[in-house]
Amino acid sequence: MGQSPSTPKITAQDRAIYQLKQQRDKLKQYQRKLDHVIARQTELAREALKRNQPERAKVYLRSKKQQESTIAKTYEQLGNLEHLIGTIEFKLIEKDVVQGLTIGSDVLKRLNSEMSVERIDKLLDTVDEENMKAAEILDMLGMTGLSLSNGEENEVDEELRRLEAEAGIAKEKPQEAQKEQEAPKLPEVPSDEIKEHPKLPDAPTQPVQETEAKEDKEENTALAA
Amino acid sequence: MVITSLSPSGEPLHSQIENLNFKELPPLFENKAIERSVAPDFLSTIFQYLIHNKKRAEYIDPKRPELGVLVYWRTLAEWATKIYDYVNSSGQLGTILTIFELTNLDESAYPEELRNIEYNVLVRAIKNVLMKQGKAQILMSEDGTQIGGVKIV
Repeated sequence: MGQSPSTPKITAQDRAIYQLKQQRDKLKQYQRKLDHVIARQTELAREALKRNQPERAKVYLRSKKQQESTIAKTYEQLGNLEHLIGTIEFKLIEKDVVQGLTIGSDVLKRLNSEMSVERIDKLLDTVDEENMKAAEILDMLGMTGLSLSNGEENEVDEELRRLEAEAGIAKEKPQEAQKEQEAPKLPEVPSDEIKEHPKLPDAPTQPVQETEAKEDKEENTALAA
Repeated sequence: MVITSLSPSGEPLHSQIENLNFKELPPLFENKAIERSVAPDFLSTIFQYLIHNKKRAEYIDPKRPELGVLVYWRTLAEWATKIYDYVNSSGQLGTILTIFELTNLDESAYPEELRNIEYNVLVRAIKNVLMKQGKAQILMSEDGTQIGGVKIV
């Protein structure tokens, strides 16, 4: 059987759990055996009674009682073992969690160290400097601003207006927009208190008959219409 | 009826059904009503065919054929998948499991089809399939003769 490198490794913890589980298996087997013995002894006692041998039956029953108390003890031990197994497994998970946390905090620390305030300040400074240099160079080359001159800007505005006129929206649009922005007048909140509760019909106390229910429905639909 | 191994003379050795009394079963290779039975030669031909042509059976130990023959009514790969699925779905991947736990424990979560699986079948499914896929590692029992536990990841 070639040991391929990808086969999972058995760690010391695995071995410990394995041994504990083996003990547990043994206990379970032992319990099964005792269960068997008890069943057999009950049977023997019954047979002894049938043959009119109460003394013998008593011996069987006594021994049966003993086995039962042994079983109770094994259950306790089993509980201990399973508890131990559970604790170990949980600790292993905790270990993984701690490991994960350590790795995570390391990464976070590294990232934070890469983003120190001074460095970013410096970076922004250099960016500013470079921008200024670029502007200087453009200046020197006589290309003050790649942006349009005032005259050109006006021409653009004019063309825009012409296009708007062609499209038939002209200058009304901005005015309309203004109107819409003004909040429409809403009715005032009534200031006087309501003194009398309007009379409401009483809730029906009797179960609604089917025909009535139908009528109600019809009324409702009529109202809705 | 789920018989997983047979003796060389055609008697069932192991079944997954608990407390099954083999003596009460009708003989597999004999029909008393018509007074006919499979001759030993023919029986061994059947076994040879199952083992070498169909790959649906295997000697427990080829050097000691008297130990019996495993009958793979489900292939080892199928068994391995079932075992892996159970371990995966019960969240026990990466945990050590004892063979006893996998064959004998009365756990309610244990799928019926895996209960009481023949030791040799289980071991072979683990060794020949899961370990080759790099999904399992075995632990020997204290005396070092049998496989006592397995870790499936």
